[in-house]
Amino acid sequence: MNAQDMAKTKNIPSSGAKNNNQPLEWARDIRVNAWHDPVMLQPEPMPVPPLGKSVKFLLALLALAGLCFFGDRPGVRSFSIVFVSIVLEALPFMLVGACVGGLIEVFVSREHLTAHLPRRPWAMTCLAAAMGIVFPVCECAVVPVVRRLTGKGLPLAAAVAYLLGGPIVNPIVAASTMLAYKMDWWVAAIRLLCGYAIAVFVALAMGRLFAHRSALLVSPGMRKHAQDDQKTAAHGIGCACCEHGAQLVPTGLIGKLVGAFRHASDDFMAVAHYLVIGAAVAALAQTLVDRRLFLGLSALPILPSILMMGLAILLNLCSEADAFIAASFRGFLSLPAQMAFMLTGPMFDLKLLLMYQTVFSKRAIIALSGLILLSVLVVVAGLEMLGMGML
Amino acid sequence: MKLVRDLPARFWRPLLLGAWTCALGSLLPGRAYLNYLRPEFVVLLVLGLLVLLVFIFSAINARPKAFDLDQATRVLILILPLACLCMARGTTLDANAFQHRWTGMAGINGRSDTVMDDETRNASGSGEDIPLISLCRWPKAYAESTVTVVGMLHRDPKIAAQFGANTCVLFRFVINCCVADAVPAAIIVDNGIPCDWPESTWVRASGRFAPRNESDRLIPFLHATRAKQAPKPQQPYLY
Repeated sequence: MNAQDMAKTKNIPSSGAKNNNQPLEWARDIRVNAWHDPVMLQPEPMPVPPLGKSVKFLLALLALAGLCFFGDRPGVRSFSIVFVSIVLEALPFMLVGACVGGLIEVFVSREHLTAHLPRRPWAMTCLAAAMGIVFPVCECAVVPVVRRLTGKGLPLAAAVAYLLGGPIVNPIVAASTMLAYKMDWWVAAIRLLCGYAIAVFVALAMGRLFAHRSALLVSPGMRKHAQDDQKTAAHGIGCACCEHGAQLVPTGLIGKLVGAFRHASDDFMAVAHYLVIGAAVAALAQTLVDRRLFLGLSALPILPSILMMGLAILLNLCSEADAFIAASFRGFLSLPAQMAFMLTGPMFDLKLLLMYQTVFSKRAIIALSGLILLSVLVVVAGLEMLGMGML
Repeated sequence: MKLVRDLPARFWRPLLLGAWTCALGSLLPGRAYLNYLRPEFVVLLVLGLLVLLVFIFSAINARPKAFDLDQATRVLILILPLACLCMARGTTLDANAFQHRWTGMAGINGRSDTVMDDETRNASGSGEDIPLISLCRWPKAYAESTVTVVGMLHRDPKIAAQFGANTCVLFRFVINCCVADAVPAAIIVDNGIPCDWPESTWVRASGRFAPRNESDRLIPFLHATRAKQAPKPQQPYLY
């Protein structure tokens, strides 16, 4: 039962009503009453878990048991090492991303955010796609941040632009790409420019496609609910706990910080298992896929690029390290094929596909995935037509 | 009874976060994290550890969350990396991973110049083992000199067919960020290594380094005169 429902039952004015200047008191009353009211505390009848949930649980249990029983086999050992390393590499970034998201949730108001954004949608999108230059993030950290920003009312196009552009258009990625390609600055320049163009295009297309329907996970009702809640508590859209009003954040700096970390912790718990599943699939691919299979394809026109896009989706590498893997295909695959790998990975891989489920609706994820893959393919085909040969 | 029933709801998050904190903390003593990450990642690990501690504190003070089948599944999924961490402790990528990752000598950016970095020059002048990656990066600089390298052993039929029946590969993995993006650096060794040594054995081989020119590419090649099995290096990966 959320705060508004409780307010209805108890005839307490909702947060959207006129007496907004004393919202904390009524909500605190609700909490106190909830802990003492035997009717409110009466447990609901235990629902029978649907079949899908049981299957997921059993699969997770089987995976754990399988690892324990077959852990000493060489293939499983390789899998374990790669799996752990992907999780360890991404974990700090995700934790920091969750903290940034929590701080945004508590300290940045919707009004403050909208007041500082350009008015024109295309200008906002172009700016958001380049924000990685100022706030460099990798793809693991950007999802919790975008999750909170969309909750604060950041338009879809701008959110998608930052989500896709941030992990590519940033100085760390530029430096690592130059390093991987023996300081060939123009490879890094092509990567950043193409990444920026794709981010802006996909973002604008998503904005247009979903102009009249919600692409975000939350319904308009929840959005209104979150707007109301902003005046009473720090919870908002995308809040993983979603028990608005039942748990209030104290005011003052310390209280706000506590609230920010509570939100961050909720965000982390909501997204972390997707990271783990993505990392497991990537580790499996790394253990099973032989990279030499890709070497005999250099003579074919577009197939190597498509296969390299597939490899990027499977490997789930960090955008700050994938250039080194792409560079290991130099001499065997064309630059456009290597570029396909470096452009696809930071925008769309298995782990991101799962993590996007915490931000977007299924329809939006399908549209987003299709647009990203199509744009990368068009850009890569364009590069091939421009005659970019072997490096 | 109710207290017992409420225990998972009250403590599953702090316990899970605590387990993750312990796992991360256990990687710091003895620099065990180097089995998975670059040395510089220690800063991020410590940062992650601090954030996890704050999250535990926050979870302890938070209102209990429901513990249903969904949460149980989530807990199991989040335990998987911890189980793998326990199983993979002390192990490194081996010849099995080398076979899947090796795309040839282009992977390590072999350079035709003879300019080495200071660290490599100091190592080569002091009679110590030459880092295997240096032989791959600067093959011309070491040409016709006597070198000693340490690497893992792999016998590849394709290489044996190309360079001779007695040849095998000594390799080390070079990490850019983490083991997932590690690329093998390899040199080809002929003679000197007994056929019965098993795959993935650590070997210290000495001999004359004579890179071969194959299709405009310098292939690092060692004519080994002496080889012995070596203990696993303190840092099995190169950076």
